[in-house]
Amino acid sequence: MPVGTTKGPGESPHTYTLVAPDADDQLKIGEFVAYDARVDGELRSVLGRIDARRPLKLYPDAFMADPQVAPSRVAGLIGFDHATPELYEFDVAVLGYFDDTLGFVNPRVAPRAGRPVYLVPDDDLAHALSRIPHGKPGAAHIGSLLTRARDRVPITLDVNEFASTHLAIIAGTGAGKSYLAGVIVEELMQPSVGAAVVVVDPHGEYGTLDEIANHPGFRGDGYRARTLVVRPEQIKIRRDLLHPSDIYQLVGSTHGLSGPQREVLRLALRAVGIDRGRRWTYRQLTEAVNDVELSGGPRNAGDDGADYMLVKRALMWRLNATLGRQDGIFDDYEHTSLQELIRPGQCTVVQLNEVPREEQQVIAATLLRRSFDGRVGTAKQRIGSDDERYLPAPVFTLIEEAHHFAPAGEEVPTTNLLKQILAEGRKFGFAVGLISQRPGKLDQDVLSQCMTQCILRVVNPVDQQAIAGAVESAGRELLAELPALSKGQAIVAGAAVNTTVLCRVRPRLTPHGGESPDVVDAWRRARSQLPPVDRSLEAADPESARTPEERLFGSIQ
Amino acid sequence: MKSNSHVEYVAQVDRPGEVDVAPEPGDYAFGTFVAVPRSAGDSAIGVVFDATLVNPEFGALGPRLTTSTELQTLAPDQLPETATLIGVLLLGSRSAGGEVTQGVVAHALSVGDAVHRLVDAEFEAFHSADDGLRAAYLPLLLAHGHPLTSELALAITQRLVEAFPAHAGAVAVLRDSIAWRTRIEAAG
Repeated sequence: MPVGTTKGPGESPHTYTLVAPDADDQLKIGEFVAYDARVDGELRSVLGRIDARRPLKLYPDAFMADPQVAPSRVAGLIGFDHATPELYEFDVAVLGYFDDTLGFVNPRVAPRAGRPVYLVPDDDLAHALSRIPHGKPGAAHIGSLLTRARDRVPITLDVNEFASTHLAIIAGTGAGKSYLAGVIVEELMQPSVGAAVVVVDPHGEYGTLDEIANHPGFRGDGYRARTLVVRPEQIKIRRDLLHPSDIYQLVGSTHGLSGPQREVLRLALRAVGIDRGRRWTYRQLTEAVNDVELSGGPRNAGDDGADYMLVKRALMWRLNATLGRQDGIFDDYEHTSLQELIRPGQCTVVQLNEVPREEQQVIAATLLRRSFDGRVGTAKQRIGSDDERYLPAPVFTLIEEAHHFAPAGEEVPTTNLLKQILAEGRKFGFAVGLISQRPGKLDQDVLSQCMTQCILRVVNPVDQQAIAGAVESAGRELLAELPALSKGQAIVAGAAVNTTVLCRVRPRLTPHGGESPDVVDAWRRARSQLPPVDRSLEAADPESARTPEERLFGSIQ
Repeated sequence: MKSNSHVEYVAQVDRPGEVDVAPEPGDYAFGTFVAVPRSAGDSAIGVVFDATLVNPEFGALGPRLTTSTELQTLAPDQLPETATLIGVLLLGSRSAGGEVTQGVVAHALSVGDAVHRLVDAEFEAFHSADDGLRAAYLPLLLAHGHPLTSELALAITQRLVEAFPAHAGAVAVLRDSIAWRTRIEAAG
């Protein structure tokens, strides 16, 4: 049944306007409508998405002079008693008719005025929006279309697309980005997918994913998904596997490295053979620092030996405080095995809470570099199954707080690595999912290379501009909806869906670990654990019985 | 009786005694469709949009020697000179063969032409077209400028909704639009 009538071409060649009374408030922003048109001799249903809505006919302002009297009642008094006199104009972005092979094909002709427009039926819409139907292998069911009743039009992501051309989840704090990320991990852990997933979790929010192992939804045909939660104290990184830039970043993280210190460190690292891939220990490195002096001292170290001693001493102090800590994650011999961390059907949550940010960056860099090298080497058959880095299956790595790992205008160990993975990862089956609440602080090159975007509520104008600049596939009009989205509502755009959609994220199968704490309850519980006030002391010391205000202002009185 | 323009005429309602059966007020009510047959066999079709009462005695309020009741006896040949005049707006024509044309009528009416009320079947015939319902005279009517023409258009569209239920939706769109303009916008 028609819900409106085409009026004419819109502002751009790919839009048209639609006039409708919309008595039932069906034509929401983001809703999909269609008109029938003959394209190349065939009758096609041309789909479009509503991007804007304007009133054409409304009651005069004077009819609303008294809030207690409805304008329709005033209209009724003068003989106008139609229930729905309002009329609206809608801007519709033409998507085109849907072809199973080609996707949406735009007829490149705006509809003639007066064509009846109808709501696209749920089934047709589900078929046209998602690249892979819900329930089929390779479809990640993340929720349902926001403009329709819950679960009427399921929205699925094409796993093959986002797990090869990268994913970005962007949202303001508390908008549900880690919840959505959890939903995506759940989908990747389904028996039909069984992906190898690594989650870099700087806040310890993803530990609840370990419920996957016990949930019947993640079992089938001999398959059983598992979750490995790696806590900070369980992570071990062998020092000689660190990249020189990681060591510079780590050692210089507190106050930065001076030029002479950097030079001494460079010579010491070269002396232990870091550029030749030799194995070395921390003791060998510190000795190499001393040896630098014996071999003539660094250039520009200072005019006399006393200055150089200060440089060496400061560098040693920094080395001991970071790379050389005995209780730290860096070790001469122990190393968390890559094959233990990454395997199909396993979600590994690398919890980095309570770890300083610089160490987080180095851990992430080491993990990403080694796993990427492993994938590339395995794909190119340079690495055999006996190698610790042998990774025969594609890897999907989710990075929470991605703006810490690829910040805009700042170089950290992960920045160039992420850029390399985003550029080359698709060929080798290595993809990343970047999660950030500050897209404005995220490197724009990195963000723009994520070909699938899930954007939840973003209120900050700087972040909105960053999204608009980096996310080309989402229409400007839909991005205007960003501040109006509620918790758990997302704009999904890019390669993994056929067109940009407004999605209501589905409920999680596993508990959500990123819930905001109930602070009032926490205060109440903490107060109940305090020792009771000893009233006898107040009697003995009248001063203690006075309120703080009385103590402050008592002398004035 | 007279005309105010090419499409607006004034007719006098027959009084008792002038015809066998004098018309009742309902026969020339506001919005009544009428036909004015002409010698060529065709008819102009119009609608009653106004009424005026003529009473020569209005203002002659002085004392009289004979009351109006006594005049029947004392002067039976004296004719009452009051009259009811109706305004007729021509909306189209019907040929001798029954072909209907809506809009401005080409030939003007003549003084003395008789005006007949259209029965329901004639009303429907005037509005029937090959593709259904037709009321092409509405723009002419709305453009006429008389204060009552908007209400007249509303009355006509309401009657069309009832007479042509198959086309009620289309007519209702027109009716609602006219009502919005003449009632809501006028009052707002």
